[in-house]
Amino acid sequence: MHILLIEDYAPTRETLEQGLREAGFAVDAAADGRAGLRAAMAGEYDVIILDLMLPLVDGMAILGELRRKGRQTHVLVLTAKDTLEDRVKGLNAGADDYLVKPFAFKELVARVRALVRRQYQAKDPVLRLADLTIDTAARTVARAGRMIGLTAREYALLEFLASRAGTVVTRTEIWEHVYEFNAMAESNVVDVYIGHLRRKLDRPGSPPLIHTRRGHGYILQKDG
Amino acid sequence: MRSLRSQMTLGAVAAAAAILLAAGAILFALIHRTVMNEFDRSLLAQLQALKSQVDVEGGQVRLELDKEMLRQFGPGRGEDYFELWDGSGRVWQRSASLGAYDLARGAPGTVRAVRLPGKRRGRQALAVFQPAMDEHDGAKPPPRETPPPPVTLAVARDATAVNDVLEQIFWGLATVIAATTLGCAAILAGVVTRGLKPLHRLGNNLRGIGEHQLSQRLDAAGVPQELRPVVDGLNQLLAKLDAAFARERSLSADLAHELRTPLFGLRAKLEVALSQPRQAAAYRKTVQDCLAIVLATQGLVENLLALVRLDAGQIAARREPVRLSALLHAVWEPFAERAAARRLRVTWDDDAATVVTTDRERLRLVLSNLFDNAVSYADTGGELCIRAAPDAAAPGVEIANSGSQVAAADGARVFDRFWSGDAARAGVGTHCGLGLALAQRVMELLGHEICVATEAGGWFRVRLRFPAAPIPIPEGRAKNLPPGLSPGRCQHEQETP
Repeated sequence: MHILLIEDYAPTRETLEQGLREAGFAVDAAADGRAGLRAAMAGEYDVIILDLMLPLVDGMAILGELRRKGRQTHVLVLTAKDTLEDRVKGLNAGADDYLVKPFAFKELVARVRALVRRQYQAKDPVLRLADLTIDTAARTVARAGRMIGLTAREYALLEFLASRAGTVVTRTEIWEHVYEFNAMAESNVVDVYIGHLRRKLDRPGSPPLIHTRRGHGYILQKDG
Repeated sequence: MRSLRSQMTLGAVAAAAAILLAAGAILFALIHRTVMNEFDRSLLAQLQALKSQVDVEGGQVRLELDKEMLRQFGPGRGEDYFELWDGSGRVWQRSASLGAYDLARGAPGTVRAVRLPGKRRGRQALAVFQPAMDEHDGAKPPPRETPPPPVTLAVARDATAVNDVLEQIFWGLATVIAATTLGCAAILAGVVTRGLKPLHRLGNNLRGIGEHQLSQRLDAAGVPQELRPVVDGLNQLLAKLDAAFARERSLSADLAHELRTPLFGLRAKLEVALSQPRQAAAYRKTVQDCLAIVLATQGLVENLLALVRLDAGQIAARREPVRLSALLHAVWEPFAERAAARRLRVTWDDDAATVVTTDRERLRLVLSNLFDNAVSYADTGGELCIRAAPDAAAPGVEIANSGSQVAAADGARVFDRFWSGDAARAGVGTHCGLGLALAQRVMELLGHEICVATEAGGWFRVRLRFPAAPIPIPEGRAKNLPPGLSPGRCQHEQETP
């Protein structure tokens, strides 16, 4: 899943970026409001983590601009302002969630995952398809009860496909949601990772779950 | 606790009682003197009347009394007395009312209080005179007879009745004074209570103003003229308190935020570091990052502490000659590495001979903050210019960095504590914490000047001036600055280093 992190305090920004990436998210980061707004308007993000007190363009202004332009990206607001009025103001301005600093990093990850699930209308953290089970909270994958070890990138790709199960997903969409903005786009990298996933998920005797729609992309479903 | 009401009441009652007592005493003394004078006059008149009745007949001194007088001095009435005696002490005659009692001997001409038979109080007058020879039968005294010796006639009168009347007058006056005093006390208590009501209302209004109602003001309407200055003074005090509390709250909130931000940075770094096993190098990097955050936070706390001490007047300034150029280079040294890391081009224009009289350590603190700001907020790959040179009026220092994100209009506000250019906190250029506020307070303490000239996207310049005679700037610092210079803006703002 692709996250945009807009935070001005460099140590926090760098750390959250690293932690979120290690948690399996593709993360783009912006250090001020102007760069953050530009990125938010340009990219397809699953969640935007937005610090309210930003230089150049205030976080509330970014939120307002996103909603005015019709962008429905889920926004998680981070702030040191902890009064009830501040929270109400933030939520009324279009934020989907509100987290007051300081907070536990695990809580941030959990809230981001919850927002991602909301993005794809999935309330259950466990995604199921045929005999495939993906626990998005524990970040574990099992097929027919057998645990499957995946790399962070493979897991991110599978989770994205599972969240859009039954729908054809283009390579561009996969790229936008699984890879970071600055990552070098290579023509076959998505195909390579799809191949890795197929080898790990499919076993002799079990039906394939990832299907290719030539000229369109990929689809995760029980029957091809 | 002493009550103003009881104090005022008691004071007024005591004053009224004293006045009444004095008036009563004077009145009584006048009455007493008048009555006694009349009594004495009557006694003296009687003495004169009796004196004219004394004569000598046949060598015998005698006092002839008519019937009326005999009754007056008779034993029945017992109010008037007389006694006649000569120089040898021989008593020639005494009134029947005296019985065997002797009147007091003494000097003639005065009326004095005496004790009379039955220990009654009375007054007595006496006269010494030569009695006349009896000429009743018309015969002249034989020429061979020697003049009769002088005799003393004493007349006394019982003063019990007069004293009783005076005593009654005394107690009557005392009763009137006491009653009047009590009445005054009651009336004064009421008057004082009524007079103090505005003060009570003022006290109640003041009690109703808590820490969170400092924006309220006392209503001066209906307040007596004498209390107006008090109400005005209290309202001014409330305004100052309100402003001070607002400043404190704002400072506390800003400080909490300034501390919360690095603390959260630390927490996030440690939590992410511990979230999974890592190589030693990764842990080392985390520790280094945490150390950098701690050092930055320590700087913030030290600046804050210095500011608090400056505000409390706990920091005194020394005076010593300081070579500006040498100090600038010494303070710059620790920042050179950071400047290089940010690819800043640093240019120097300093006169090695420039010497100023200042406090070296305090000025070091100022320069350190200015260098820290310049290196932190200059645009990456930008420029930093340091000048130290004698000026036409006074030596000066200018530290300038390119890439300013503070607009010219906001130049003066960079000295405000925790001011941030766009109501948001940032670590990239527009945020001002405590460094410039501290620099300004220290420069004030030293009697020097500091100002800022800035242009968004251009240069951010801080200038220090060291007038030969330090300028005392306890308050209202702008009025003490030379014409054309303000704490927030320098002259020649468009000048490029």
